[in-house]
This record gives sequence, C-alpha cells and structure tokens, in this order.
Amino acid sequence: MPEESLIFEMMDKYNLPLKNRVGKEGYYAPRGNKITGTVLGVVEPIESLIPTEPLADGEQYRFHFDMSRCVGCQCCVVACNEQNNNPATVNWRRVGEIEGGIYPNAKKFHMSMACNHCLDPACLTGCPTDAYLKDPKTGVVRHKAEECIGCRYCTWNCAYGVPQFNKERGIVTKCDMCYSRLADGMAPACVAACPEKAIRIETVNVAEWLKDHSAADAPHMPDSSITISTTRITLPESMPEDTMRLNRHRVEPEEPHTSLIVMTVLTQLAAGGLMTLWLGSLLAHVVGFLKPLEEFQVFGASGILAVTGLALSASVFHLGRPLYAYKALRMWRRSWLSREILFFSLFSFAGAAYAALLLAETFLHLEFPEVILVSIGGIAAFSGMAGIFASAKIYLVPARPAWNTIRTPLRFFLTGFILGPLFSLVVYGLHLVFMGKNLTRESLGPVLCWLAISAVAGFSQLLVLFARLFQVNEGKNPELYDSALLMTRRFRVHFLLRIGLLTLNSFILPFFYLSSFLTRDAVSGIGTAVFAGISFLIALSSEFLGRYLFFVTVVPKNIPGGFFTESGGKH
Amino acid sequence: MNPKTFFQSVRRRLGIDLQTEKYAYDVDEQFGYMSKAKIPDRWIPTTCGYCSVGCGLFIGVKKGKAVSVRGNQNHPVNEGRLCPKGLCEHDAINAPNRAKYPLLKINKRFQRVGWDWAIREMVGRFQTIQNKYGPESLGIIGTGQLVTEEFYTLGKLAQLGFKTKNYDGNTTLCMASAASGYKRSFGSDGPPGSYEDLEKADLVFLIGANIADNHPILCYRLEKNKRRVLIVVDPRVTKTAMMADIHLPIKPRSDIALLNGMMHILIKEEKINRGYIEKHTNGFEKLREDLESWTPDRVSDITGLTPERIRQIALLYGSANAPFIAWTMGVNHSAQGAETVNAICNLALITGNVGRVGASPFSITGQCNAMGTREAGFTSGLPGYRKFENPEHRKELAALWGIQEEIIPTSRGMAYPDIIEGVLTGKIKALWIIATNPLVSFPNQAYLLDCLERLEFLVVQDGYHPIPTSRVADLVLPAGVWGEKEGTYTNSERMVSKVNKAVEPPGEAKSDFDIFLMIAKELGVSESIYPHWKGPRDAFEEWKKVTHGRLCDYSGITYELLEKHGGIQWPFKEGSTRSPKESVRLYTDGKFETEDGRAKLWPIDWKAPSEVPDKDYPFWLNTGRTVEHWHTRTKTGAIPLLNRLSPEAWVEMNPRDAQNLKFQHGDYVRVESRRGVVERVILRVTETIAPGQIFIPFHYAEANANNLTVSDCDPISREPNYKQAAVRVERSIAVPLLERPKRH
Repeated sequence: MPEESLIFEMMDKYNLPLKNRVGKEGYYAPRGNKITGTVLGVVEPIESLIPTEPLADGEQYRFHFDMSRCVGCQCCVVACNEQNNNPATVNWRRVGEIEGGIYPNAKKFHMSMACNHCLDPACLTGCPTDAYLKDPKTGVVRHKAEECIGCRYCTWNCAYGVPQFNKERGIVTKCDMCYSRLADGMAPACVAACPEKAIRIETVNVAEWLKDHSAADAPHMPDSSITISTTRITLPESMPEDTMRLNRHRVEPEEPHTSLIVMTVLTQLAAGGLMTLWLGSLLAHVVGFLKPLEEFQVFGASGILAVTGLALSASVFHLGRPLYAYKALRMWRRSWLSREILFFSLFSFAGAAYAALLLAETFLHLEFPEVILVSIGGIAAFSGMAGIFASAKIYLVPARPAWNTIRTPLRFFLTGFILGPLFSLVVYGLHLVFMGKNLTRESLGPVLCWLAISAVAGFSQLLVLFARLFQVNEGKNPELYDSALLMTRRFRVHFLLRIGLLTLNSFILPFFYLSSFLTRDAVSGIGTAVFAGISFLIALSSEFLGRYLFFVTVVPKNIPGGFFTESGGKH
Repeated sequence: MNPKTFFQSVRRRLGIDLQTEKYAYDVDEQFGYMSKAKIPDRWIPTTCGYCSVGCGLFIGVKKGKAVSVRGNQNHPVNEGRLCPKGLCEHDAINAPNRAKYPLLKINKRFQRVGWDWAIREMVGRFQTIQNKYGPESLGIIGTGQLVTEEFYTLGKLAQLGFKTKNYDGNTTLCMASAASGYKRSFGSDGPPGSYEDLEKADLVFLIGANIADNHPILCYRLEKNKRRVLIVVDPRVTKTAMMADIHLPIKPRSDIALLNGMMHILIKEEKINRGYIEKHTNGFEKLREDLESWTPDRVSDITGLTPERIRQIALLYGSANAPFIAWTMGVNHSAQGAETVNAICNLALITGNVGRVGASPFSITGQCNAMGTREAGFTSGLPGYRKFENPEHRKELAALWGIQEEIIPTSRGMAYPDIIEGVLTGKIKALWIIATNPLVSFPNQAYLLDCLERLEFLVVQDGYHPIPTSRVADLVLPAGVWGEKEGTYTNSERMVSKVNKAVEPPGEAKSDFDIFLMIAKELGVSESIYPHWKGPRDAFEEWKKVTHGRLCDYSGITYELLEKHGGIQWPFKEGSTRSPKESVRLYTDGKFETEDGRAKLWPIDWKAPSEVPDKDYPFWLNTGRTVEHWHTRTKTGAIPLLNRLSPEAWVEMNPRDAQNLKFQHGDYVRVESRRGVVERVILRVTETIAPGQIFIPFHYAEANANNLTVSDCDPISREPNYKQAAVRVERSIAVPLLERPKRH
C-alpha cells in the first residue's frame, strides 16, 4: 500500500499479537520471541527455497521445516510420490498432526518430515551390505538399490521411520533430498510443491551442528541426539505445553517377521542345545551321573546341526532379495547383522565338524584325541553363544525402546536354554527307543540336568516377561507404554497363553514326569520320548509365541502421524 | 498364470528384478529430474478441474495415457503450485471406476447399449413423459464441473430444445447464495475482487472459509502478503484459523449478528464513508435505523464473542486502508445465505470498500467452473447475467439466436431443491442429472432417495460409474472428464482459462459437448439452436457475442489469447487496451448493475436456525470438507494416495463432551438426527471444536453426513442449510461395511 496502514498500531494497542512474522534470521516466527508492531521495515524473508551459494568446507545440505507455516495440505507428500513414482504405501515424506490447548485457544500443528540426513545415520551403520552412502559432498544419506538385499534392518534402526520397504521391489527405499534435482539447481519436489514455503533446503556447518542440534528437536519428535538429525525445525511462537499426537489412538502392531521368528528361535535352540551338550560331555569326565551322555553325544550334535540348517535357510526368506543373501556378510566390521551371520556360519561349520568327528568315531570306529573333539565342540558352542549375542545386539536399537533393553539378550539366551536341553531330551528319548532301552534311575542324571536347566530358564523367561510391564511411563517413554498396552490389550490372549505355557513347561510337566520315578525304578524309552516330545513341542510353541509378541508389540519411535496414517509403514 | 508372468514373479521374488525401469529417473526438458516413467511424450497445458481457484497446470501424456501433472509456473493464479488433489489429477482420469459404455437398465439390470439406442431411448422417454405431463415435467440438474461452452450448450438444449424451465445446477447447493446476494446488492452476479487483492489488502477477513483445506493455493497467494492482518471467522479452529492473527470462534450461524454489530459500531464511531454512501448506494437511512438495535452486548449474546473483541474487529475493519472480505460455504450453506452475503456487501459498501485495489467483498467459488455456469448456464438467469424478467434482455437474446422472443421463458423455473420436491408433488416425472452425485451431496438423503425412486425415468450422465446416483439411474451416459475435452473455465476471480484435451475418453465415453449435440440432433433442434456447430469453439464464439457489452464481457477473449496468457479476467471487451495480465475489478467507479446504478443496502435481520440442539439431539452438527478429497469422492475416492491420507469419514468432538459420553479418541460412534443416521464413524477427540458441536466431512458415501442434514433452504437463493442440524451421538454397534474404502 502506498500509505502505511494504521491497523498494525491498533493491533499493538489491543495487545493482539501478530502471527507468522519476519524474524531476525529472515524466516517467519522465530522461536519464542514475540514481535509486535515491528512488522514494518524488517528484513524480507529469504525468497530462494534452496541455497544459492555452493557448499563451503565442513557444510552439508539439510531440510528446514517451518511448523508455524505448514497448514497440513499434504502437497509435499503427493508431490514426493509423484516425483519418485512411489506406490501409495511408500511415503518418503509424511505429514503428522499434533494438537494442544483448550477451545477456542486450541492449536493444531502439522509436521512434514522426510529423511533428516543425519550426521550419524543409524540406517547406514546397521546396514550389512553397504547399501547406504553419506554423500561426502552434500551430506545427503543416499541408498543404493542394487546393493540392498531387503533385510529391512535400517527400517528398525531409523527413529523416524524414514527407510521404507517397497514390496514390489523387495528392497528398502528412502528420500535422497532429490539429490539430482539439487545438483541441477532445482528445488526438491516437496520444497517446490509447498504453497506455504514451509520446507526449504539450507546449508549447515557440521561441526557447529554437532555441538548444538537442539533446533532439530520438536514436541513428539524422537530425540535428535539419537542420530544427530540435521533437519532444522522452526516451532510456532505459542506452542501449548500439552500437545498430543492426533494418531495417538493408532498403535498398530509391527510385522511379525515369521521367518525371523523361526530363525532366531531355532538358532537359539541349536546354540543352547550344543552348549549344554558340550558342557555336559566335558563335565561327564568329572561328574559321574552325566556319564550316559558320552554315547549320546553324536545323536545330539547331529540333531542340532539339522536344526541349524533349517534355521539358517529360514532366515534367507526374510530377505526381499534372497538370492543376494551372501552380501550380508560384507559389513562385519560395522554391522551386528553381518556379525550374527558370521557367528552362526562359524557355528554351523564347527558344529558340522564336531558332528562329523563324532559320527566317524561312532560308526567308522576312528579314534580322535579328546582335545580335538573338545576344542572343536567348544568352538561351535561358543560361536553359538556369540551368535545369540550378535542376534540380540541387532535388536538393541534406540529407535525401538521395547527391544532396546537388557531383556532382549536375556530372553534370547533363555530361549536357547529352555529349548536346547529339551531338544537334547527328545533326541535322547528317541535314542533310548532306538536302542530299546528304558530310562532307569541310575541313568537319570543328564535328564535331570536338562529338565532343571530348562525349568530354571523358563522361570527366568517368565520374570523377564513380567519385568517388561514395569517401568512404563506414558509421558516419559510413550513407545514402551504403548508397547505394554498393545501386549496386554490387543494381544491379551497371546500374552496369557504365553504365561500359561511357560508355567506349564517350567513347573507342571517336569513335576509329573519326575514324580513317576517315585513309584518305579524305570520309565520306558517310549514314555520318555513321548514326554520329551510333548514338553519340547509345548516349549517350542511357547517360544515361537513369545518371539511373535516380541516382534509385533515393539512400538518404534517415529515422527507423529496424521489421524488416519500410521507413522509410516509397518516394519 | 502364464509362464511369462510366472518367470517375472520368480525373478522378483529372488531379487533379480528390482523394477529398475519403473523406478528410474531421467531429465525432463521442462521440469528437470523426475521419475522416468512419468516423463511424458508431451505436456498439455490446461486448467485444474477440481476447485474454483483455477490453477494452471500441464498434463503429461505418454503413449495416449495421462501419466503425470505439473503446475504451470507461468500461470497467473498459482505460479506452479498445486494442491494435493491437483498434483495427482491424472489419476482421476485413469480411475478404475470410469463410466465406459452407455448402460440401460432392463429388468433392473444394467445392459450395455450403443449410443444410438441410448440417445433414442432417452429422447423418446423424455418426449413421451413431456407429452403426457407437460414439458415442465422434465427436470434437469447440472453441475459446476463442465466447461463454459458445455454449459452454454446445455442451457440452450434444456430451455430451447426440451423447453423445460426446470433446469438448475448443483451450483445451487454451493454458490447460489453468493450469486443471489450479489444480485440483490449490486444488481448483478459477479465477484468484484481479484486474488491480487489478497496480496494487496492490509486486512483480510475470511468468513466461513477454510481455504487451507478447500482452496490451498489461495493460502499461497495470501502468504505472499506480508503486511496484512488475517482475521478468520469460523466456529471451528480450522487449519485456516491456525493461520490467522485473530480467530473469531463465533457460535454456529451467528455471522449476520457479527456483521450487523460491526456496522453498528462503525456508524457510531463515524468510521464510514459518507461520500461513497451518498454517491453510490440506496437505503442507508433504513439500514442505519435497523442497526441501532445491534449493540455490542446483543451481538455478544448471539455470537459468543466479547463486546470488547467485536469493537476491536469493527475498528480494525474500519481503519484498514484496504480490507478484503472473502467467504465460502460457511456463509452460502445457510437458510439465510443470500442475506448474509447482503450483510457482507452492506459492510463493504458503507465503508466504500468495493472494487478498490485490495478491498472487495469476495465470494470464493466452489467448483472449477461454477462461475461458468453462473454466467452461461441459463438456470437462475439468462446467459450473460441477463434476467428472465427483463424484456430487453429476452429481446437481445432472441435477436442474437435468431429465434422468436416468445420461446424464451419469462421467469426462472424450479431451483434444484424444488425440482427434487417437484418429484414428490408429481410435477417432475423424468430427471436428467449431469456430472453431479446428489446421493451423497444433497441434504437429507432419505428424502432424496424417496424422490428419485418415484421418477419414471432417470438419466445420469457422468464420467464415473458406479457411483451412488448412477446406481439408481435408468440410463447411464458415460462422459469424458477433465483432461478429455476442450473449453474454458472461469475461476472465482472471473479469470477465464483454457481447458484442453489431453487424452481420449475411455471406452465409448464422449465429451458432454458431443453428447448434447447428439441429443439435439435426435430431438431435431440441432440446426436451430446449434447452427453449424462442430466443436466447443463454435459455442465459444457464439457465447462471446452473447456476452458482448455485458458485465461478463468475453468479446475480446480468444482461445489463442488464453493459451498465450494462461488466463484472462473478464470483462475483456473486444478492442480492449488492457493488458490481459492485469488484474481487473468490478464497480471501481461505483457504478453498479442496478437500474439507477446505485448499490442497494439491505437491512438484514438475524434469524435462529430452524433446528437447534435440544435434550434429545444435544449437538450442533457442522459439515465440511478435507483437503484430500473432492466433493463426493467419485474422482478422489479411487486415487490410492489420497485415500490413504484420508480413507474414511470422521467426527470431531470436544474432549469434554467425549468424556461425558465415555468415548475415547478413535472409537466408532453412531450419529443420529431426526432425519437419518450415520451408523459408524470414527471419533476424533479434539479441542479444535467447541463443546456441544460436532463436525463431519460430507465426502463419504459410506458415512454420509447428509443423512443427517436438514431440508431447510434459503428462501431467496434456494441453497440448503448444510452447516447446522441437531444430532445425538452414541456408541456404534454397527459392523464395518463390506464395502469399506480400501486401505492401500
């Protein structure tokens, strides 16, 4: 207008604050400082949506998102999917909604988020195949489709739900800040589409950002220090204290990952089984009542080997690109997933050697020095343990609080020591049947040991399960709270069944079996085998069930979703 | 599964096939790096077919198929920006539920028939019915979705071909109040302002307009203006309210009280433009007297705002250099809609804020070409903003068309809601519905369905089938949609833009224009009403002549000029020296379209809505829209991404009410009014709505808010009162419908 308007002075007079005005940095609505009456004659906002200068040393690109400007129109989401030809189920950019305050002073805000191109990208660190690249020039976290085997580990590692699995391709895909458009001096699709200019690309000095990245934090966003997110978020001036996510009712179960349930439980079974066997045979030299183990060793080891084979082949079906499973070994220096595979490969090779030696001894009547047997068995047993540990480490990711606790390694080892001994018992029972023998009180030693180990492990597993329901605080750790809620409400039946089965196997069944020795001296081989079989199958189903709950009830950290959108896809 | 697909699927499962080609990128000459699969053979410039903002865009066509859409950087309206619907508009063309063949219901089942048969059947049945019950027994309900050329063509076909006056558009459910209000205040329809005013005003006053959800690109225009105060009047804390400097959370339908109260204060404080009032208006004294009683205290009682706040708002408006008032459905969808528009115009007139740069009372239109049908439609007025009642106007048209003056009706026929009522009273026996879906959008659905079932013959002409309305039709005519036909749209700011054909309609579908010509031929009126017409251009040329010298003067506009400039605002007279790029306003000289050239001030009394909450139905129901969907979702309902973002209807309720009723966020509830029920709708517990009010978006046929709305209509505009009804809310016991929207 040619003449200056009176109404800004009037707004000041009425003490009515103006909204979304220009701040010192050239953007609208800087954090926390109320500007009234100074609207006229301040700096114009930066008009360019992307940096006009080339990157200086020590700088990288980042998104700036201005929450005070976003109106939640979803243009960025649609533009992104159009730009990248993604199916509706894959959204590299998503818009969340949060609300707070009391009517009519209620506030509602939208949060448009894509990849944060973190300084410490957890997707990259966890990747077993080196499919990620932190672009040295621009800092953009890029993903190489050809290298990806679709293991989806990055989807667990990212606290923002950024990498998403594209079923049609069998691989994970993610935002690359429209890298090629930027290189051509054009704005990324989301930036160009935003009618409010709420999304921009800017440069950030990496060293300074490492020192202070608090501008990446916002209500309901995962803590920026997990991976040092680079997205700068401008918060509205008057953000109520008590904001809530609009999708708070939408706590959805995650993928059950059937092949991973099979793989983890069975590898733990095998590792636990082999450890008990190996320890048993070692102890048998000194402890008399374990003597019966010596002739059984070969059967036990062979059985375990078969299970390991089954487990490892199951794991391949987890991958989006099974044919390229071998690539997963590549990043063993960095990725626990590579290490897991490494240890279990070692376990199966050493286990195979161990079983082969034992077979040769038994059926070809060859003689090997005891020390060789013990050390090869030991290598197998310990690499199995290391494998379980590596497995557990995979799940210890800050982005998934329900997994990221000491309980995860505990429950993995406990699964091994619930099922391993029972599996040995099954083989032992079959061995008895095969040999036409009965189980006498004198040869009860190993059986007692197995049952004891399994029962103690089962009881501990029960404690670990209950422990999860404590230390849940909705405000402090919403994901743990939601996870506990999911388990005890939506999966109540599964949860109760799990408790029941654990109790049955730890206390009731062994009691009945052992009590039969009070009245007689021996139980038939068939009787033992049947008991062992039932006991084992119940324990196995119980552990499968437990692992199912483990996968589906993990509530990952994520950006807030919209009322209708889960925060990204299930992973 | 054939061996080839089996082989492909194995390759994909093993991970050999990464769909690399589908997800590859390449450089498009015009738009740079983008998905290679979406780089077209050519970009066709056109105008968006959803709302009335009128954004310019390009459709990318690859091998005869629309594969992408990009905003037109050079279009004056949107400068390349598009809303989420526009950004994937090509998907609306490729939707699986497109109508492809004429379908005739024989023994209660649709049978595919040829066009000849379909048209013969339609015209034959209509003529039989008209012969039996009189020509007026045929009702025709149009839309705001066609191109202006088609509206012009259809208007002539209805009024001069079928000779029925009972032709109206679904614009009556949308913009009639604005049109009637403008006619009463200024003597003619036609919004005086321009979008440019959003950028030039120092005060922007939005009443009942949630532009962030419904006209997102206007937010882009508004945000360009850094020196403005934004006031938003809305009972809900909408997305738009969040943009506002001041949000006025008034009680439902109390806007007339607020406007009267503001004028009361401005007159008392002498913040009015006496000179303008004296020179350019009639009726000020009467208005002033009437406003005496609208003291801030009284207004406060009705609106729920404090007297202090009302005073501040009035003085802000009165002190602003260029205050711009814009409104949408919050004003129009009311039994007092036209009068509310008059109250708005009163306020603008007494302060002299009409047709100045940055200052106008501006109705933001709904559909992409609602303006086109208002200008050319031949429904509530004669083409070119002429009046049925005016013999001069009839004479002009008769001369232009070379017909006898007597053929032109001397009064308006029934309005849309009256046509529906006419079915019930036996006046209407056959109905032809074009490109609208009343079985979602009409208020009080049970009543409408009852009416439609009484018809002897119902023809539905639409781009989509099956949709709720086409299901009950006797004959379905498959029409081409946006992207498949040529013509022009006029947006809210009177900007005429070119719409182009990018692809062929699917199956045997034809453009509405071609269908109208076929019908005229069968009717035997082709040469008399469409002399030598072949394409839309012929209609446009004639339309230009019809508008020559009128307020909506198109005579200087050509298709070629439109292509060149993206869009040109009318009036653009033949020989005009104005640059087509320049914004133009109406009534800049204070000369109005009334007989004496003066605008009329109307004293407006506030009336309470006919139905207010009570013990049995304790909640106010408010209805509206969401940004992801368009009207009744015939277009957007089949677009996976938009559906993922907003898959089903919801109901908003204040936490205090939810607590009383023991509802949780995310529960499914049942909403019931005296007229109908929504059995199952998800609850959104939010402080953005006032206690005692609920809100349901109307887009969703599965949970239709219009089962609940009242049948009340504005006596002047005939626009229904969608925004206020009394309802109760209970826990839902209904099982999910089988036909629930798919979650992709």
